[in-house]
Amino acid sequence: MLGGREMDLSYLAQVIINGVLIGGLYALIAIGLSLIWGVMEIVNFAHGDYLMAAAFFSYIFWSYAGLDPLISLPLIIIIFLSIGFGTQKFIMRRLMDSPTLITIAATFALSLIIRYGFFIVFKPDYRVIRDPLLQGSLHISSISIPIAKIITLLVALVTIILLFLFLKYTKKGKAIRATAQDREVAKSLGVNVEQIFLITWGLGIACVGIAGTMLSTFYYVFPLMGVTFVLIAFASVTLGGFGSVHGAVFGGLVIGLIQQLGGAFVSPALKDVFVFAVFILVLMFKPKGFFGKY
Amino acid sequence: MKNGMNFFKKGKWLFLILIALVILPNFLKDEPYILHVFIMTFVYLSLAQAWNLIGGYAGQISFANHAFFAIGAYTSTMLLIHLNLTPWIGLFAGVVIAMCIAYLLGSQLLHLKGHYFAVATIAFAEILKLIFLSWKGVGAAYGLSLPLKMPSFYYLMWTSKLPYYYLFLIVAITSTILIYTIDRSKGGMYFRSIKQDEDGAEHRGIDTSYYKLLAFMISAGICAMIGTFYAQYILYICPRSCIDIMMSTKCILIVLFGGLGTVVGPVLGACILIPLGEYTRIKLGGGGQGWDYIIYGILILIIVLYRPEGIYSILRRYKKNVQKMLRG
Repeated sequence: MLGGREMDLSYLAQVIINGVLIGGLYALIAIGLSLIWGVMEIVNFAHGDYLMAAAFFSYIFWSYAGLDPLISLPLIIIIFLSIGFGTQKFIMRRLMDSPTLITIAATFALSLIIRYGFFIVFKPDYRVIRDPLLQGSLHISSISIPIAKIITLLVALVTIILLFLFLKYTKKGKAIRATAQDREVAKSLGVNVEQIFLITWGLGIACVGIAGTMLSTFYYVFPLMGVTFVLIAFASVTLGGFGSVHGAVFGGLVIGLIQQLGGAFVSPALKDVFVFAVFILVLMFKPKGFFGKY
Repeated sequence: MKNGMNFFKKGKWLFLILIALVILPNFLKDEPYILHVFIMTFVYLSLAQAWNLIGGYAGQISFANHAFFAIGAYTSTMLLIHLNLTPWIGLFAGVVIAMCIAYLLGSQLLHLKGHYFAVATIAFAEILKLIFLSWKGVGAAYGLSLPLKMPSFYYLMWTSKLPYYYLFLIVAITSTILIYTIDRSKGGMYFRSIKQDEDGAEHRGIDTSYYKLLAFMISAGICAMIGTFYAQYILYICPRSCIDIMMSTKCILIVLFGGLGTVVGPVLGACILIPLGEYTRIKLGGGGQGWDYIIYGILILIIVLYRPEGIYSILRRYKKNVQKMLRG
């Protein structure tokens, strides 16, 4: 039998591990939002619904073609890259110089169309991918860690590192950062800003596509799932500072930890209250977040 | 003189519409559903006017309308249940509480620009919703049923929908007149200048933070008032139906659709979008849930892409052409 103290410690360790695991996923969701926010000053209110759509794609591939989410992941990345391009090409491109409210309304309209489109086709039921490749848990003394979540964290880390390297060392990546810093100057230096916007939307939506697919391996899939995640993504992005890769990672991890610790030690029903309270406090005292723009 | 004539013409039309709105429901006594659609249109018209003030005139994108609405609904309901107080006092208390919260929130958050203020208000509303969902004192997730009283003006409860129809008609007209008055006042000019160029307005000596706060508080007060009336009409409130972000979203969509920062815009928007949404829902039955939102989404996308000034601007241009034709 474990002593009370030891029990508490392993419980704490479990909670922290849960926080880090879910935080990695939040970081991956936040990074796409942060990229679009930073480069174009557009807050994508439909971000959570793209996430939901990705989870549904993964579910559809599983139920109609028998493909495991891990196998359909590359396919979904390509699909979501194109969806991102399409969003910019057909809708957002026309709104580049519009006031904030117009872009918010446009992404909100997109969000309604995506969310309730899936709602009508698939009904509001909760679905689950049964028997995925990733199942079971790792057990270390009394701590248990689901394998699906470990793999999700790894995928998130790989994606984030690749994205970071892309932004840091490639020519296109540098052009993206230049555009984020000053659109006009970048344009005058010969950066094809239109193309950069296209790439940014593509990358941002592809990231959320990866996040949605990984989420579907251990979470329910249902049409209204985006609502909670988009708010958490907002909180992560604001905490880290928009347009910054390590900011989004920091934000995601901190939000994951706050949520799990608050849920475990105060009240599970109020776990998101802490997240939003921290979010408002950060906005009040440090509106630019802890890491600036790139 | 010409202005006077114009006003008379405009006034005549308004007067006719008003008379029709007053007489009409007497023929619809046996059609409670149609009366309900009218009532919901009035509710959203007033809520949209409240949002128009902070969002359309002062240019601050708030997603907290539904939070203040819920504060009004919950305050009067709690007072009615526990102290047996008339909702009229509850209404007053709700408005005061909502305005105080708006003051606290606004004084801390209104300095944020654009997106940041929007997401901060979303976070605030979400916190309120989560707290109400788990707070046993206000019924938690089960919500509160209003105790049934003798049908009377004092308890704001009636057995037929007709008195509610007139109540919400008056609320809608009052809020529209309020926005009209503000539109014509010095304050309205200040709000518009803040929206156009906040730094510029500050340099011209306008106390921008004061005026933004003022708009936010008035807007919150109107929402709380409608919240009380709405609770009295529906007789049941719960966090999932009252503190629903879709309510604020609908208000924004209505204002955008009709015309941002105009008195007529929200009226047009509400009169078109709300009956349209309700109509699709009955046409498609229970399974049609969701279609109304898709139609809203598509309409907004079209408006935003092709006519971001809203449909009022189309009517205005059309009206000018007609006047030109009439003049020959």
